[in-house]
This record gives sequence, C-alpha cells and structure tokens, in this order.
Amino acid sequence: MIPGELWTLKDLFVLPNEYIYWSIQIVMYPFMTGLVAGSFVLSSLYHVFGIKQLKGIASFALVLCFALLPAAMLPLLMHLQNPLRGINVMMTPHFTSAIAAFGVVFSTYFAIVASELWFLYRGHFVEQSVSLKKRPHKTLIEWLFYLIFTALTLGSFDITEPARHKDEKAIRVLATAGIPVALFLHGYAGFIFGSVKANALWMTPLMPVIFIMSAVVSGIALCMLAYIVTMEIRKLLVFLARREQPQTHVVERREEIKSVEISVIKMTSRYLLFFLVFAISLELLDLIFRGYTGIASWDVLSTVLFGKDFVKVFVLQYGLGMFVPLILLLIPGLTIRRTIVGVTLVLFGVFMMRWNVVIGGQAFSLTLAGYMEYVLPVIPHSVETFREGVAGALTVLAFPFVLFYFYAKIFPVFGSSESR
Amino acid sequence: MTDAMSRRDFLKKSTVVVAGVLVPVAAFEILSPARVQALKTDDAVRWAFLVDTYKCVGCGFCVKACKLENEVPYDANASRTWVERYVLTKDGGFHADSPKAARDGFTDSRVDLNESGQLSIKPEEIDKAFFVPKLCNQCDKPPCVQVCPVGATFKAPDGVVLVDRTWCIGCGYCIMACPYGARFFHPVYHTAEKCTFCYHRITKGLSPACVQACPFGARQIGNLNDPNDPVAEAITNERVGVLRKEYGTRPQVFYIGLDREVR
Amino acid sequence: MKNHVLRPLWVVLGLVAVLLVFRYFYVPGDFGIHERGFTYGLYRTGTIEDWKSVTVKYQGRDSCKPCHQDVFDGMAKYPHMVIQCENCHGPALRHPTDPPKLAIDKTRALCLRCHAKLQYPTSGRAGITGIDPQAHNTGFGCPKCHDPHRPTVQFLRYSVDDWKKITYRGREYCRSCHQNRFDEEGSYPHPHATIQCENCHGPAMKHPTDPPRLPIDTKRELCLACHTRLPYSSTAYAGVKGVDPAGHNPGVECVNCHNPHRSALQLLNWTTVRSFGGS
Repeated sequence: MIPGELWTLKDLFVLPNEYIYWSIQIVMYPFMTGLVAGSFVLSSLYHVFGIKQLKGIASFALVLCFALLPAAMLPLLMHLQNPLRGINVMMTPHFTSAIAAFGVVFSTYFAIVASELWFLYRGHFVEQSVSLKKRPHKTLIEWLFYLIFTALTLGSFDITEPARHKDEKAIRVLATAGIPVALFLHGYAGFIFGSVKANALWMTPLMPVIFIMSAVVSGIALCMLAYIVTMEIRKLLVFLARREQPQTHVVERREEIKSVEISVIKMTSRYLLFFLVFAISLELLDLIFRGYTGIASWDVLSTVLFGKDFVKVFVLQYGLGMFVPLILLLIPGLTIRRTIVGVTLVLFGVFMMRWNVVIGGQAFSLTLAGYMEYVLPVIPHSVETFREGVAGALTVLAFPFVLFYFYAKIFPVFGSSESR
Repeated sequence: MTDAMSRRDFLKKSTVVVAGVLVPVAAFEILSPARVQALKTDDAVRWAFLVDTYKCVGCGFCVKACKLENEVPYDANASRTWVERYVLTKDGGFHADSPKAARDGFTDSRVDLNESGQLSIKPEEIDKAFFVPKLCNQCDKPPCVQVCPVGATFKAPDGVVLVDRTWCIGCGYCIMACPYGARFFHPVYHTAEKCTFCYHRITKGLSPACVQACPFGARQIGNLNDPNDPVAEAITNERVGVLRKEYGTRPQVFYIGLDREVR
Repeated sequence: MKNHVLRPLWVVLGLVAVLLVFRYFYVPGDFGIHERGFTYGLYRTGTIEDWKSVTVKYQGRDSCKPCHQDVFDGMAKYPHMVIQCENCHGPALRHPTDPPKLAIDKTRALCLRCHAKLQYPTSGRAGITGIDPQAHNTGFGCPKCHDPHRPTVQFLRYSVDDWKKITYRGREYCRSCHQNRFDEEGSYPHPHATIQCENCHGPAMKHPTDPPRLPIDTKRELCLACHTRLPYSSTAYAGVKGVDPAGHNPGVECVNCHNPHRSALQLLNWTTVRSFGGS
C-alpha cells in the first residue's frame, strides 16, 4: 500500500499518485511548536518587559516550554518514512528548504531555553546540591538527585548577590534574543506551507504571519490553562493542610492564592485578546482576498471551504475557536471558570486552524477537479495506523506533560520554594 | 625603546603572518562570472521528452512497461507514469479519469469517478475525448529539489531529476511541492519515487521503457543539445505546449495537442 | 570569581563540536554541492551510479528477431507489427537463459486495451477497430479465434460460418448436466470461474450427442500460458499468479496436484505433493 492510501478517499478526478501524505502528525507539529513559541513569548513578557503581574507564570511558562520542545520533535519522528535518517536534516541541511531550517532553529532555540532555565534555577541547583551533600546517609534517589543537581550547577557555586545579578542580566539577554528565535521557529513552519506554489490553499505570503499569530495565541492560552490548573492544585493542597492542622500557620491562604491568580489571568488575557484579534484579521483578510481575486483555483477551494469543510472552518475554527472566546474574554468581570472555557476553546480553535490548513490543503486534487477525504485512523491495528492516527496524536499531546512532571522535580514551578 | 620591535623583526614577523593567513585564504577562490560560465559543464546531453496526444490511444502499455522495468509493484496504486482520459461533452461537461493510472488501459467506456462511481456517457454526447500521458517533467527549476531538506533529490548534469534512496528521509515535502503529481512514496523502499526517464536505459543508449513500449509513437525522448535530434527539431519548430507554465518550473516534457481542459 | 555566565555557551559549543565530529563520519565523502549549484545540485555523486546500474528488463524487439524471425516475417505486413513483442509477452530480461519461456497472455484484458471500442473524436483511439467487451464472445480469450500476430480477418481461426457450425455453447449450456463443477467453483471464489469451460475443453457443439466426450487437456502448456511467473515481479501481469516453469515440478502435469476447477493452493492434492518430496 502506498503510504497515505489507507486514509484517503478519492472523489472525481484525482491524479493516481495523489494521496493525503501529510496527515495528523503534520497537524500536530505546528500545533506543538506554536505552544512552544507562545509559552516562551509569555515568559519573556516578564523577563524582558518587566510586567510584574506575570512573575508567577513566567517560570512556569518557561519550564512548560522546555517540556514542549522535545514533544514538538515527536510528530516529525512519527511521520517520517525513515525516522532513523531524521538526523540527515542536521547533517546535510539544504537551506533552500524551509524544513532544513528546523535543525538550526530548533537547536538554537533549545540552547536558549536551556540556558535561560539554567540561569533561572542555578540558585536552586546550588542550594539543593549543597544541602544534599551535607546529608550523611543518602538514599539512592537522593544520590541521584545530588548527582543531577551538582552536574546542573556546571561547576559554579557562587550564589552571592553580584553573581545573581549577573544571572538576571543573562536571563534578560536570553529572553530578548529568544523572542525573534521563537517567532522564527513558528514562522518557518508557516513558510513551509506558504511557499508551496503547487498548493492553491497554502500558497500565500500571509501564511508565516498567520501561523505566528495563532502560535502566540495558543501558547498564551495553554500557559493560562496550565497556570489555572496548578493554582487550583495549590489551593487544594492548602485546603487539605488546613483541614488536618487548623492551628498551624500556613504560608499561603486560599484567598491570597485566589487574588493573585485572578490578577495574573486578567493581565494575561488582555495579551491573548490582542493576538487573537490580530489572528482573526489575518485569516479573514486571506479569505477575502482569495474570494475577490477569484483565480482558477477558487472554484474548487470555495467548494472545499464553504461546502465540504464548512463546519470545520466556520463553525469550529472561526466560531467556536475564535469569536466565542473573544466574546467570553471581553465581557467584563472575568471569572476563572469563564477563562477556562475561553482558553480551551482557543486551543481547540488553533488546532482546527492547523487541521484546516494541512488537511484542507489536501482536500482537493492538483487537477482542481477532484477531492480527497481524510479518514483519520482511530483504532491502531498496525504501526502505520498508530503513528498517523488518533493514538499517535494523543501520545504527542501527553508527552510534554509527562516530561513536565519530571522537570518539576528539578525546576520547581510552584510552592514556596520558588525563591525569587 | 628596547621593547619596540626593530624594523627587520617587524618585516619578518609580518611576512610570516601574511603567509600564514594566505594558506586558508588560498582555499577560497574569487570567481568572476566568466569563470563561472566556463566552469558550467557543457554536457553532451540535455534530455527532453515529447508527447503527442493525438497518437495516444490509451492502451496503457507504457504504464505496464514502466512498472515492470522500474520495479514499482504492479499492484501498487501509484505509478511513475500514467495516462489521463478526458471526455468533454456537448453540454460543456468535463469528465476525466485515470483508473489505476491506466495500468490496464482503458477498457471501459464509463469514466471512473472514484467514490462517485462509474459514469456512462453516450458516444453521441461526446464533443471530443482524448488521452494525455503524463510523467515527471524533469523541470529545469524543479520545486521538488528546492524543498528537499537534506539534499536527497537533485538535478543531474544531463537534466534528469533523481532521488538518492540511501539519503531520503521520507518527509514528503517534495511530493507536496510537485505541481504535477509526479511523485509518491515507494511502498517498499519508503523513499520518494518518480520517473527517472529510465536513467539506467538512456545512459546506455536505450530508450525509456514507456517510449519503447508505445506502439503508436506517442512518446519520444531526445537530446536538446543535438541539433539533428528529431525531438529537438520538433520542439523548436513545431507548436508545442507545456503543463503549468505559470509556475516557472521550466518543464522539459513537451506536448503536441494539449487541450485547454488538460489539468 | 570566574565569570560563570558563559558556562552554558561552552556546553553548547561542546555539543556542536560533537555534532561536527559525528558528521565527519556519518556523511558520505562524495556528498556535496555539484553542478547546478546549491539549490539544485546538493547530492551524493555515488547515487548516479546507483541509478545507472539498475537492471534493464525490456530488451526491445530487435533482440527477439534472431531466434523468432519466422514470427517477424509472419507479422511483417500486419497492423500488430508496431507493437513490441514484450508488450504482450512481458520483458525478456535474459531470455532464453532466464526466463526460459516468456508468458503467453491469452486473457481478454490484454487485447481490450486497444480493442475495446471507444468512439473518441480527435483521438487515435477512434481509428482502432474494436468490440463491445460485454457483448462480444464473453468469457473466451481472444486468441481462441484471432491470431495475435496476424490479426486480420483472413487469419481468423474460424470463419463466421465455421464458428456457427462449431457451436460454442457457452457456460450456461454446460450447467444443466455439470452443475457440480459450477458448485465446486462457486464455493471458492476463483479466477477460473470467469473462463469459459470450452476454452479448455473445446467447443461443446452437440455434446453429449456429438461429441460424446469433450477432450480434457492436461498438458502443462495450457496452464503455463497464463501461469508463467516472471522472475522479478511477484505476479505476472494482470495480477495472475504464476510459477517458474523450469523450477516448479518440470515434466509433471499441473493437474496432478491442482484441481483446475478449484482455487489452487487450498486444494492441492497433498498426497501427490508429498510423494514429489514437496511439503
């Protein structure tokens, strides 16, 4: 079977070699890198522009970003016909190809985020290393952590004020440098599609910008959602602690957590709204231009957009994914509950945007006289249906959170140990 | 004054430094445009292909020959070359198909519309109907080569675009970038696959399998650098068309009898 | 205190160095920018030789002439002269060494490629004489009546009158007495179910009156006409399974193991197979 044949249904006049070659994993990849870029930009809003209210979420966003990075590579590995040769992109990059930028951009970005995290948590590494060293009888786990933290200090144990000051400067430099890199990381993904002149839906100079805007939107939304979840967990922990020992003085009170939480959320949602409006405008602009100029491909494109994919595009992506959250977040008196609904819809909308671009671009034939329908494999009864099916997509979605769980043991993101 | 270098020492040291710097600099060459032009290999061969759609009868022997010659599994639903049938009816209707890439020819008068079934068309309703063989255009500015992230596909000196099966990672970008639908994933090798003008044959003085198989001479291959080549003559002197000229790919497959409805 | 700010940079540079060392060993030596520059000429030169060394399978009709001159002479003045021998007989490869015999495809599908009548104005197809595949002697292979090398009317194996006299009855005529054979086929979806009984057994004419028995052809040649496998593809063209005639029990008749009315592998006569040393 030709790869792609399994989940493609052809209708009318389709060329013999045409199949939906870029399926769910290629939808997941820009979605994941979008989350990466967006969460980094959010973290940088505090470190670079000094927006104090975002302090609580800044470290969180950065660690989540670091967890999302390896997860963003996973869809590519699962999509490649020869995944073991994936390293070729870094060995002989053909820079006329947007995909070749992957190797350089990803590595640079990885280095920046890792370095920024190092400067951010260096103090914590030193503290942990020193305190664990002092302990006379260490368990195996403690030994492991001692080794990890000592290695992570990279040999510099100076946590005096001047040294910390240098750390902060370095963080600011990296956070600043990282913003254009983050934008490039996602812009190039948009360029991958926008530069394919053979595809009538993909080919537009707006594509990189559209991708960047929706990436930032998704990153901010994810961070808001994750932030709310962690805040709720903290509140729960406080509640439980209080219940067991009502007399004990607890560092934080629920009310304190609540008030901090809502102010951060209100602040962040304003940025989300700004980028959301930008994203909507660009998408509509692209659509209007296509309809107005009406070149040869418009017939088949409009059949796909207004006919076959109408629900996916206008109801799910534009409606539920953009306009409804816009209204929800604009209505005054924002509550946590409304925020949760709003940002979840935003994330869904961004996912649908990726889907409608990748799958939508393959929904019509090069002949402009035929269609292809994508039948997403649900039950993984073979390697191929696992890799390029729902199971593979869910694996990619779950992976960063698994990583985040382990990262949080080294980079603490909440609780009183956040010592800044 | 004692710390200052003497003039002799200075000259000595400078010579050493300059000589040392020249060693790596010598690895670079300042190229003038003229020199670049001279460096361009003036190859003996520039392959071009000529398709005469008036002669094609849709027998599909070309597709069968291509599959067997180039080891594309016979039952696989993809082919390096294929034939399209166009049936244009008097009411302005457009119908086209390519059942199994025309591997078994066109033996059914009904047009195969895939999920939409088989469409019967009465002979008296037909304005014109014809067959268009298609294959990789071996473009002079191939978008598929431009987008390969690893340098697995390239344009050989004689003009044929090839894929390095040992290096292709199988990302599929070249398949998406080809405006002609010439590429696909080989089901066995899991690398990008496309027509190579039967490179293993043309470099031995044989003609491609499809050219040889065609009983009616609808397919011809030639050398644009040879002034006496009949294909080169036809392309230069007769009215020929190419597919999707607006994409700027500079295809090297030329068509006689290209109708406005051909996709 | 030494400046610790640059530590991550050293780590990154170290990793880059490791990558470059790995690259030195991993990337083949002939990989680089060749003619046509970076955009179109980044590749490994060795791959050109790889592509040049693919085996040539189709030899062309000139390589058939030396041994099969008689067929050429016979075909010379007739329309099928333009068709390559290998189009119908499959690629010659290293014939007669390997394969020793080329398949003789007697299926209708082969001829219908050109001769299924399609009235297409402006196309060369309109000029080819053809038939309606659903109406014209369905179930019979074309070579039953037509000489594929000399396809004109004068070489029809049966004139229209002869044909009427011979009286091929068609399968439904056989059913009234031989329903059991139909049932055999019916239970096992089997390609032979579409072949006319008379293709192998000869014309029924006035059977069972005259002739009282129809011949039962058990020679290998009858089966090998469709079931000769070519060495480099898993199926002969048209998706028919095949064997290598020289390798697969040469000299033994196919019907010793295979029941021609039933699907081949499921109902091999295993006793006989084992006696040949097969498993």
